Amino acid sequence: MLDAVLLTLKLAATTTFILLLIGTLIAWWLARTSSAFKEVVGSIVALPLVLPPTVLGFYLLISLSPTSPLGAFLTDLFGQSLPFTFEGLVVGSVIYSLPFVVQPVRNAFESIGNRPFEVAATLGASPLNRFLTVAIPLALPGLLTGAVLSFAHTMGEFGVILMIGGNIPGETRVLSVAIYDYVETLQWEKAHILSAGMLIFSFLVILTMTLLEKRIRRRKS
Amino acid sequence: MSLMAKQIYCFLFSLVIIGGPAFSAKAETTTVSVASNFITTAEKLVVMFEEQFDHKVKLASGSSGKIVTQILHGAPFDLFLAADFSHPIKLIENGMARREDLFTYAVGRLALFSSQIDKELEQGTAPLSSSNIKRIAVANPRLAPYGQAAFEYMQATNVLAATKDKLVYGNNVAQTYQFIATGNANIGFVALSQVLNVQKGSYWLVPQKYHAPLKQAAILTLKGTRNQAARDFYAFLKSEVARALIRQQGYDISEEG
Repeated sequence: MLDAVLLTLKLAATTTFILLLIGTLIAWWLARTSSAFKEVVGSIVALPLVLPPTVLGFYLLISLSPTSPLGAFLTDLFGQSLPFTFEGLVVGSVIYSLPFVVQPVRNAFESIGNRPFEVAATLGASPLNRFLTVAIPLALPGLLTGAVLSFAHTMGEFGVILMIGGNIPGETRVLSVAIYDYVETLQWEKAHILSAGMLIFSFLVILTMTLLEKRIRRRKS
Repeated sequence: MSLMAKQIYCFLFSLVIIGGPAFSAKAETTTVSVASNFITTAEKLVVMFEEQFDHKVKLASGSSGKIVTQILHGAPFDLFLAADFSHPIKLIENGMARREDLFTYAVGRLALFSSQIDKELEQGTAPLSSSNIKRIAVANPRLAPYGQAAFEYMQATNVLAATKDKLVYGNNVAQTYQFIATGNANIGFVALSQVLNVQKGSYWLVPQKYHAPLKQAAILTLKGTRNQAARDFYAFLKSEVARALIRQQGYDISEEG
């Protein structure tokens, strides 16, 4: 049981870390570009919000299989095929939680406006310098929101993992799958313990988010 | 609630109102829950049954454990075609069914299956411990009797230690089969009924001596004993035509019933 909890925390932390890198770059591009494809890319990124997890799981299972071109390439790269491995779950979770990071961070970048960047530019800051010393600090609340949301979202992930996980203890048997298993094998006590834990955790996440937003709004006014 | 959400709710609500009366109930309808390994056979049985009778049968498939949980919590299943004996007995113990309504409708056979053509496998000489085999799919032994049987086989042939790190677990034999069919697992243990008519791939029938017989029991729930369609379908399962079809689908028939 502790196995599943630790594994899920590890998955959520890894996914959040990767998403803060990838998601921030995508959010930055979406916020600053005037490209015609902007909203097309934005919509693709937002897809996992409405896409059933089983659809994502199904496509991942097919495309990551060693018998598919992409899967064969990745199998060579990693030395083993991605489904049924922790790395495979990370790939799935990153795609699945992408919008939860990109959207708040993009909103944060957009609300900065152009002025601070113009000021920084007149003071001789390079684009990279402007990004690191102006954009990132000003968008910090958005980044924090994204991090909390993606962490929480990954903690509760079920459908995708059920499709590509293979339920291996210590490797892909995450919390939600463990709960599912305990219910199916009529071990309701264990299911109760894990479920109650998740309930409290989820409540705390929402409470934290609400308080965070309040503080940010207060600071702005 | 935002305006958008309100609009969505109104839309969904109107769908329910419009869609509600669209389906009409036939005189006798029964809902039958079926273990995943038997679903395709059950579908064929239902076609035969509905030709003979004026009833309608709805099938719901899942793992035996999940079905028991659902019945204990008031799921409206009249008949339960389980993957084993122990799950229907749980219903009897909880007063949801009667012991006299329990019988063995099929005896499952375990098969080792690969989606590649493999002559060695068909001879039964493909070693699971071979380094070419990276992943072996098996149904979760705690959820699925076929998974349990696969473990008994691996134990009996002393390959458990060599295969332990290669195993990936499907939730049931249906998912286990899917792991193999998509090429994500090289080989795996499924029900013979799943691979009997497969065009692409090879299988080997695991001899019965390696595992306890996979007796699959059917039971009427108390709710089902009051449903004519459920009782007729239950009786139909014992008929010669049904038994012939079950046999043809890759199951043995228990003689003691």
